[in-house]
Amino acid sequence: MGKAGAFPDPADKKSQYSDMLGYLIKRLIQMLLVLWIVSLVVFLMMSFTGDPVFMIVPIDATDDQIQQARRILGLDQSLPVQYWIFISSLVQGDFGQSYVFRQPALALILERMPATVEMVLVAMVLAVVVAIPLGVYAGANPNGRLSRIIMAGSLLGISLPGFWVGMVLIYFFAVHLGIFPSSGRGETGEVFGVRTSLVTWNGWHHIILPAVTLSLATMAILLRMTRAGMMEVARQDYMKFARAKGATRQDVLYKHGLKNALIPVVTIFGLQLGDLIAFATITETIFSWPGMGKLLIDSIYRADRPVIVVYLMLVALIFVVINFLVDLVYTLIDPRITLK
Amino acid sequence: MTSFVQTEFFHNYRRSTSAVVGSALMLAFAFAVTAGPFLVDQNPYDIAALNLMDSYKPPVWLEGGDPRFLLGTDGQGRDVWASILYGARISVFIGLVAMIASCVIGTVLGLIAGFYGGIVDSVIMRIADIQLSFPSILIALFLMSAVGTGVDKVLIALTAVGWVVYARTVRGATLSEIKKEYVQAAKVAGLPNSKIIRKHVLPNVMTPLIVIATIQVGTFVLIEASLSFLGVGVPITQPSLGLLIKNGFDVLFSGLWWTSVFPGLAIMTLVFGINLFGDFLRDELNPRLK
Amino acid sequence: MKILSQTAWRCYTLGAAIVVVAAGASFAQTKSLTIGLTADPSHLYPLAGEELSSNIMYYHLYDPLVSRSADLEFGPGLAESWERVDDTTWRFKLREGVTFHNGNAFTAADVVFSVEKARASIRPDLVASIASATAIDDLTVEIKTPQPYAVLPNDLAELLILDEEYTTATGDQDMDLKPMGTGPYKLQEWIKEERLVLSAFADYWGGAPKIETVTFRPITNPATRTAALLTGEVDVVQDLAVRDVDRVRNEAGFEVVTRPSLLNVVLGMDTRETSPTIDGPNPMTDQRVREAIARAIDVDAINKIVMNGLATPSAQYVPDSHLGFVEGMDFRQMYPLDIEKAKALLAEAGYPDGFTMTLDATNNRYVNDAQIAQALASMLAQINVTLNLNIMPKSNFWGYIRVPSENSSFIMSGWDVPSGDAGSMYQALFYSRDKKEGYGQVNRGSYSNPALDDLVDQADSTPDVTERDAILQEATKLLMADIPMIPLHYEQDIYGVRDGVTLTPRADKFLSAFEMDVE
Repeated sequence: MGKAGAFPDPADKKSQYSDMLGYLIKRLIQMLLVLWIVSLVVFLMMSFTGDPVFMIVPIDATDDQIQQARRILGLDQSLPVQYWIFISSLVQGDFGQSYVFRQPALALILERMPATVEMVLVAMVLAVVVAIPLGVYAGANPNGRLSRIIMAGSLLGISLPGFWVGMVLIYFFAVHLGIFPSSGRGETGEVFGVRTSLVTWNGWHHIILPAVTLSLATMAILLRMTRAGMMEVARQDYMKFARAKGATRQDVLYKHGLKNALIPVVTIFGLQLGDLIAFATITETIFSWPGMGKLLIDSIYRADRPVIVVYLMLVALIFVVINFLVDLVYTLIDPRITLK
Repeated sequence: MTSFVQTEFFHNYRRSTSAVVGSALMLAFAFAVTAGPFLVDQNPYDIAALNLMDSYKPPVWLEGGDPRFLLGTDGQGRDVWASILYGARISVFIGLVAMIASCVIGTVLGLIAGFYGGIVDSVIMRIADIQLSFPSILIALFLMSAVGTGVDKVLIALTAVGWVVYARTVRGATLSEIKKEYVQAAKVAGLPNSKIIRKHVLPNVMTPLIVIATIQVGTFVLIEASLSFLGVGVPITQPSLGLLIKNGFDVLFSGLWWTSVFPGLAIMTLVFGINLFGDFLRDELNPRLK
Repeated sequence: MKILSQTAWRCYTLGAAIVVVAAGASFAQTKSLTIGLTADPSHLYPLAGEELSSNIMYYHLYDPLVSRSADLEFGPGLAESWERVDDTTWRFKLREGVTFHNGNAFTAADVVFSVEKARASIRPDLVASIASATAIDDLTVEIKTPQPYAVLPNDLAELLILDEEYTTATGDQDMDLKPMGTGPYKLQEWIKEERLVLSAFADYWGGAPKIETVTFRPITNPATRTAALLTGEVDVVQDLAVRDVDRVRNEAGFEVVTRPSLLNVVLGMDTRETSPTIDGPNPMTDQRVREAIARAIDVDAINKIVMNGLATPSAQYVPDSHLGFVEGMDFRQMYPLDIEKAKALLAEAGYPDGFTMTLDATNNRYVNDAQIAQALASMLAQINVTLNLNIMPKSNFWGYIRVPSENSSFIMSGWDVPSGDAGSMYQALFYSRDKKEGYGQVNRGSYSNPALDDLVDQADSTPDVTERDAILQEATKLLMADIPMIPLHYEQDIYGVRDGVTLTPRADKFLSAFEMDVE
């Protein structure tokens, strides 16, 4: 949801040849700029929120105690000085300490990251597996009865509030029928040193409801993109040409059209992955899923600025990398496009 | 009017089930939102009028239901049906106002960027790029957590995430328009910028803007609901549909499903209607698909 | 395992008693328990911060010198005994043969270290009543207070003792992850936001714990917490939502355990001449107006409907177990619900048409706090006092109402006094502001009454507990007549447990697996 209504900017498609290295450097500088702006904006905005020191000291703390706590947390400095300290230690790889946990903010996020990533991945796979075949079908048979049902369903999918779906699923499957657990992550196993619940039966049992909840909107959007791509392809001249040469419509569509139809889907794929990470915050909150999104929401409630800053910078980094990869894939599957 | 009825647009509209259903749903909501207060006896925001003794009554068709409360009541003795009517007002109000604000601000910035180019253009478009690299819900969530709850603050947060798409579209159209010879000629001839905008640029971007705006109202309603669900949206004294769901979630497991399920259905119907109609508009007005 | 113990039981009935003792010892079922908490602890290092989940862990991992029972009785902990040497000097005799989980012996040096460490930490309040601590010998510590202070041992129940050697070597940051205390449990595994597993410390000085493994799972959402209990994912849940109580009660195999908590939800009124959210002079400077507000609030209705009957209307500012409680005095009987009388009082005070002000309250701190605030608004509307509600999450709340931010006229908040003594509450909430360091720092309504200040001063300078009690009772009587604050109710701590779990809730809410048992 959110991005469905945006039209791709036609100017993006105009491509020029330039060397790969220059491109990489340009993207890297862009990325650093984005990260810097994110850190600055977050720092400034967070100065509006409640003073974090009051979340930490006892209610009846004296002024001296509050001052002492401020000193320990580094909150006794002015905001520019705090920002300078943050940026200069960041350059040395120190992302600062959480006010609440008194632990390195980056470590707090990283240790919760596998839980989020596995949920996002399962949701993404689920969305792709369901959406692409249905989208292709609906695009190939735009006036069929089944296609109309599929499309109405997909529209419903982007019209549903995700958190509400999660609640209804919990109520029905966990409370009413009792066939799925209501919350939390199941047993985990280790794969290459990363703890994941995807290697245990119990883990899968726990991940299904949150992953389904999370995937619905993405599923709907991917489906619609696939269908639109197929319909667009069907209009292209080379398709008409192929048909004229005697190939059947289905043949042409699936053999030549499918690949071209999926190109716009790849672009939206990156955005969707971003949306999944964002909406995971809500899904994790409903299902008490111990991921980094829940940490963000908790940190917002606790005015734990260092964690919020690092989370947003990390997410920004992930998005930039995803977009970069998408661009790469894009050039691979469509030779007409080059990096710029 | 007759001329409109005869247009191809109207002809296609009548033939499209989804367009008719979508606009019917939108009309129903428009009616509910404007006439809402006259349809119910209770004003759910008038705290003094609520009676705690009426709390958690089930819907009228269930055992223990009270004929005064069609869809039951919540923990404060608020009629769920009345809450939905009033809550939809807030949701729709937020969606519409934030859409209008986004559209105006985005269009103006897009025109500025397109007309003046150079550093102004770069700054505006880089900001837009950075914003687009973040999902809107995340930006809105963060802004809300910084500025605190309130209807005005939700509007600010939604506008802050919503202007980008207009700015990009308008800028693109402006750029391609001012390159055209007759526009250049008009410019040389001393035609004021305002006139160029009115006569040449705006007519060209009107259709995509209408489509974006329609769908954005639905998107905004959903984002607002998500924010309120997370407790950083509207204040508890003026619950939007999203906040009603949140309040209901806390008691869902006690079997008190009606306080969260009905508001959820209301959001779904509203956004579904908007999307149905928006879909039709897109197919109909988007020149790329013609 | 279960089969084995049943076999063992059969052996016993056959009269083979000796065999049973042997079997019982070697094959005893290892007991385990899973507890659903409202939140993951933020810390395992007692000097890093304070909130309920962390406190629960602290008392599993560490011990204080003075232990505090479930009913707030104070008794020997790591200190076997203590005596007062003079008005300001106390001598504590430490328990012999106690070791930390790593085998280090517990000595007087650790106590001195813990005091000094706390002083420089984020929790200097833990040692506010200690002027100095000195080791006399390995097992004797002398503690001096800044002034005569009768309840020092109560305060010491909150100071947990660290291992000097280990803590110094580990550093503050790692102490949060690798705790080391003398407590009944040691840390086995902590996967943040998922589970925290404790295992019994067999050499615990108070005897080996009955439950071998305790798993804590954070489940923030009250609805999911209930579901986790009912689906058998956890054995015990903390803070069962009041709305779910009936459902859990009616479910076979589960029961609900409640206990009135120490947390008194109170309404603080501004007593300054002008108030931030009131136009014109502040009516609440007049005691009659404050009484009118008290009489307009139907505490029973709030209890019955908002709290589902699971609150205890407050009789006074502190519970009856506390020093300073006056036997037989009840706010509800002094100012019962009486709208007519309340209106008359308002008219008498010169406000027949009422007035408008803002109530500041939280929506995620107390049980159903936002609903209580709304209920209050509808109740006060009946005497034409219009309440605008300013409801916010606790992260903004504490800074917003903080003295001296001066934003508020009417505040709903909570206060609990785990030290068992009204003095600390009165000194913080009702002592005139800016008169004495450490006094009146939470006096949000700027209440100022020289007679009360005088009583608190007297109480704090007597080393005698009985005398302190008598003085504080005078203070209570004075406050109940003057009503600077309306006590509403004590929340109940509500736990959902599956059958077979023995749980006696503690007054301080600190769940203790050491005090629990399972079948």
